[in-house]
Amino acid sequence: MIRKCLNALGTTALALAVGTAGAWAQSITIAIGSEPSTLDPQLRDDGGERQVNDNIYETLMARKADGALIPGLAAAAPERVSESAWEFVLREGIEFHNGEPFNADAVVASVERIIDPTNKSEQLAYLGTIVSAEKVDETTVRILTDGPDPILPSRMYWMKMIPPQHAQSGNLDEQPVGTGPYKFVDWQHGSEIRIEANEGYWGGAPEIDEVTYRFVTESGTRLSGLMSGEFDVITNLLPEYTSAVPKFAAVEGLETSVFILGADNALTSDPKVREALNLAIDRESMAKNLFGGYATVAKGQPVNPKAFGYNPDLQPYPYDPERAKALIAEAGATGKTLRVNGESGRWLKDREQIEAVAGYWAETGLEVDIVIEEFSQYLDSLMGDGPRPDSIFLANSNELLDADRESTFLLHMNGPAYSNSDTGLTEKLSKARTMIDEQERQALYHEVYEYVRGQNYLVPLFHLQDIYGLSERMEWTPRVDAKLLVSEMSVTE
Amino acid sequence: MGSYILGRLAQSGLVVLGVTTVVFIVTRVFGDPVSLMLPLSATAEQKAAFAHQIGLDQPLLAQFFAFAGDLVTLDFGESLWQRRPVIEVIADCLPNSLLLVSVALAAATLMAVLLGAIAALRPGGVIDKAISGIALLGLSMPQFWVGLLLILVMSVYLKLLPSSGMGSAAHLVLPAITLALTPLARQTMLLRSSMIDELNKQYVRTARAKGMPFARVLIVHALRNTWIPFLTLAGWEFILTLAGYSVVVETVFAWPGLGLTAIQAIQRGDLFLVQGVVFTIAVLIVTVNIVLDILFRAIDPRIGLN
Amino acid sequence: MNRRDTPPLLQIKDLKVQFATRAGIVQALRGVSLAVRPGETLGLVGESGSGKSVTSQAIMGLISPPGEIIEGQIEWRGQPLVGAQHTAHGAGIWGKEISTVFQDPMTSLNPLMTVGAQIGEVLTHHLKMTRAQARRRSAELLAAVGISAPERRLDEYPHELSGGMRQRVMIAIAIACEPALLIADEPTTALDVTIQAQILELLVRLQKELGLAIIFITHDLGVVAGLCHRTSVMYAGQIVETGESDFIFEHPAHPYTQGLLGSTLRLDVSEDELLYIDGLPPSLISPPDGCSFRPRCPLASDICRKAPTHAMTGGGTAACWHAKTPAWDGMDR
Ligand SMILES: Nc1ncnc2c1ncn2[C@@H]1O[C@H](COP(=O)(O)OP(=O)(O)OP(=O)(O)O)[C@@H](O)[C@H]1O
Ligand SMILES: [Mg+2]
Repeated sequence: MIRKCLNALGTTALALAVGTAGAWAQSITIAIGSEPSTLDPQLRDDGGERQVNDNIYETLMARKADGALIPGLAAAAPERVSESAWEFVLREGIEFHNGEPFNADAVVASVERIIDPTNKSEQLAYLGTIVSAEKVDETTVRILTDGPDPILPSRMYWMKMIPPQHAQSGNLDEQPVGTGPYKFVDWQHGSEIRIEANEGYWGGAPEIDEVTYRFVTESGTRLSGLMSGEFDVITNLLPEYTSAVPKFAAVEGLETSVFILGADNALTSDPKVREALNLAIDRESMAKNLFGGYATVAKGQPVNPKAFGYNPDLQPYPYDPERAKALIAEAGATGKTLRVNGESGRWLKDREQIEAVAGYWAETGLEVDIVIEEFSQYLDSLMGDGPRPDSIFLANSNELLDADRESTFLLHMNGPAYSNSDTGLTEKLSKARTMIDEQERQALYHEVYEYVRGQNYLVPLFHLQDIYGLSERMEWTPRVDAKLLVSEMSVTE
Repeated sequence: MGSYILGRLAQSGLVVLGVTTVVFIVTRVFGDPVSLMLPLSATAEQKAAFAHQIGLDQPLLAQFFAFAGDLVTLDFGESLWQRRPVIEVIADCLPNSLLLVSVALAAATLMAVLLGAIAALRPGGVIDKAISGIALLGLSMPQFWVGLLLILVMSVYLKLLPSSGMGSAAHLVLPAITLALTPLARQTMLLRSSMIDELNKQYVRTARAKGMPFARVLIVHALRNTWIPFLTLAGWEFILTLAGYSVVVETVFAWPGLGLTAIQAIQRGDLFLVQGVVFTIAVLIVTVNIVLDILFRAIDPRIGLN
Repeated sequence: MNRRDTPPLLQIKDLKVQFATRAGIVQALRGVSLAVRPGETLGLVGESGSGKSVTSQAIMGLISPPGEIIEGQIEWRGQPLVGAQHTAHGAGIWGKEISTVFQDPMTSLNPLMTVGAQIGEVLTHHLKMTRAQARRRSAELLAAVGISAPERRLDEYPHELSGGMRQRVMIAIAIACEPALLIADEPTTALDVTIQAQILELLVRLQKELGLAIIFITHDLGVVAGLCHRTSVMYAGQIVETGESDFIFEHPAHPYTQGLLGSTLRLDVSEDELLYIDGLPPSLISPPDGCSFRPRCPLASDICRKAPTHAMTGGGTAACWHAKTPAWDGMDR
């Protein structure tokens, strides 16, 4: 304790000296919302860990900034060699930062480590279908799934490749070693993590030499750190502050807000009522007033626009309050009570969205009863075994950028949050999960979401944009997948 | 004295056990750590496996006995959020909090003695009114707000001090000031009023009549008699600051201490870490109380050992 | 040498003290003058609230806000000691040459300091003694005021002592530097009767041994008669009569003094003959003009609306237009 205090005092002079000597030409500071719980890239589902390790580690598949899936450490897109096996050919001549070669053995080791039940990896939520990996030759690997898995290439975007030797004998928790454009420097618990450019990176050395990550939970503090010049990049900037910061960048992210309607509930089982609920909302006005325009009105479906299976031909629900009122009257539901469940503080402007929507619904003649729950109770309402809520709010995140995510989570009768008993729908969704032909699969999702739109099982609202605050000198176009890839950033000075 | 301390320790042990028991019950009865910890898309099997892994599928009573048994060896289990022993997490963040809180409270206490004593010299005078007014203002300003205001002025506009994080003494300044304000205000008010009381007492007259220099009357005679209420408050402030205010201040200034850890543990449903934090705070509270008790006995001969 | 010829140790001239309170300005002292000569005992008597303690506080420089000396002078050996506008020159005099014993021994000592420390600090401060010297001397002083096992007592705290012992400690502190003047403000009021007598005896003995002058403040006229060379009678912030004690007790000139004596239980007067002075002392916030005893005085006449001058009595002066006139029925004086 005392040593720690002395240390803190001792480093002051140093910090001040460095601070006044002018910033290192090519070093930047990024403020992230939480400190990584570990720097092991395979164990946790942890935003802070990802934001750092995305720069150190790489994956077989990568994505372009707009979300398009491209080969990463793989030399080309994988080939499907059987119903449940995909074959990846690897890039040659790549080394980990510690000199270990990246090859088929490394891939097999990475796969085996992450699916090893004793490691209890939280990332299995994205990788659950994988059963094993086989080395074919030095640069070829087969990955086997428990059944036909069309999304496997997308899944591989989530599996970071680790050096087998270091994983065995080193300390992966504290000493990350990858193949990526940045190398780990040090981690001062509680205060910062530093990484530096990997000059020998196979894709070419990155422009920015050094990056310091700082952990700042409070968004107001991140904002003031940006404005005081301490930070160059901050995450989760609120729309209302875009005018205050030196620079900002917004991109449509992974999250979509939506209400699930209880299609079996007394009131909401009436299709007229469900249709009325969709027609009653002025989404354009909400996007403007709540999000300052940094949200896109969903086109009649909850699927992320960048995801496989998104139906670009669907239209947003129109705003037609008269028709909504008429429908409620026709259904004989005027004056009946609609319960609106939700939570507060988990997602951007969640409570504001819930209250605004409930306000529109109240104008149809329904009585609206808003129930904002504590988060774990809310989760129980969302996914528990109890009676389904009439309507429940949710911001759904699609990390795999595949319509399977929304479908399974919101609609499929084996999923956690479905509120219908439409067996026909579930059948179709099951089929889409394992369909081999991409074209057919895409067509099926298009069909499904046109049908769901007609049934009004869901009330899709917005695709939310991620907004980043940047310092004056930063040049960066943020990515759809919310990754902070420093190699894509540059500094003008 | 020895048996007295033993008795106190036993009593304190009971208090700590009581507090942790309550926390145990509260964390089990309300909230569902399993669904909080796992991603939304986790399947029922994954949840069951996780519950089994952390022992939450056991009957409550069995969980409690396991928990109490581990307590004895300071084993709070593994943090669900950080995946390392709770005791390690606490050992990492507690010193940071202690550093911040001690600096803040030491500064607050010194200032409070100074300001309180000055104000008490002429109750109702201009200086007293100014000091009391500022103290009241300090009490009515929420720390969250003060913190952001300080950041705005000192970091954003003047660019004098870093707005967040830990690492140098400069980093300590703003959070320490923010944390110090409320205790400073309260301690100043208390010292002022007890000093006024003491200065009006007969023994102070005696001391003045004895021709003692004013400074000696003030410091050796009157001030010493304000110590007991003052230290009682100071101890209370220490606990309040460590267990309460530090949550807000550490969050605002991204100071990696116990408060920031606690709030994140709660948000993430990390019940083992929450238990560990509460246990630590309970231990600190009884420690502070015992230390105060011993100090009181050293200060005031009238407080007997029984 | 006759005491009258020696210059006074302490001289108070026309002292006016007031306290600003919520209710208004309390005129606690309204022109008090008195003098004390070396070795002399002056009794200061008067009913509660008449200003006796305020007088002693003024001498000791203890009047602090909301109190204020607004007029007058206190001189010590001919030099200014305390004056208006908070002027004070008592450093090195208070506690050394003038000391005081207060009424309540239970609260007069610092509860957190040992007896030894409380005596010792006077010695180290005024006499520049070392701690060891101070300790030795403190023990001697405790012995001198009649405390047994003084060495042991030095390390005790006030709460370990009885009231009488504490008052002895107070006296030990007061005489520590062998002062020229001791102000004893009702030193026995809080003690029970046998202890009272012992303390009085102690004061008398010390006065003889050390040649102290004493201002003895009390309600107890019996004590004054037995102890004091001269007596001043206070009423409503003023001294209404001063004189040789022997003379005043035989021939009280001021109606208030007469009344005070008449209301005192004495051996030669039976209880049902005791006098009772009707009415209450005047408010010091708005005292009556002229003689302040006028509202209660049987002799009051028109002239009493003017402030009385000091008439000579045989052994002193009395501030009364009707001095020396017997005021109360049934009293043969
Ligand atoms: N600190 C003070 N604030 C306000 N008024 C005061 C203060 N001290 C004394 N007085 C007033 O001055 C007047 C004289 O008080 P003082 O204590 O001298 O009376 P006293 O003659 O000593 O009476 P007693 O016999 O009860 O001790 C009283 O009316 C009292 O109310
Ligand atoms: Mg008195």
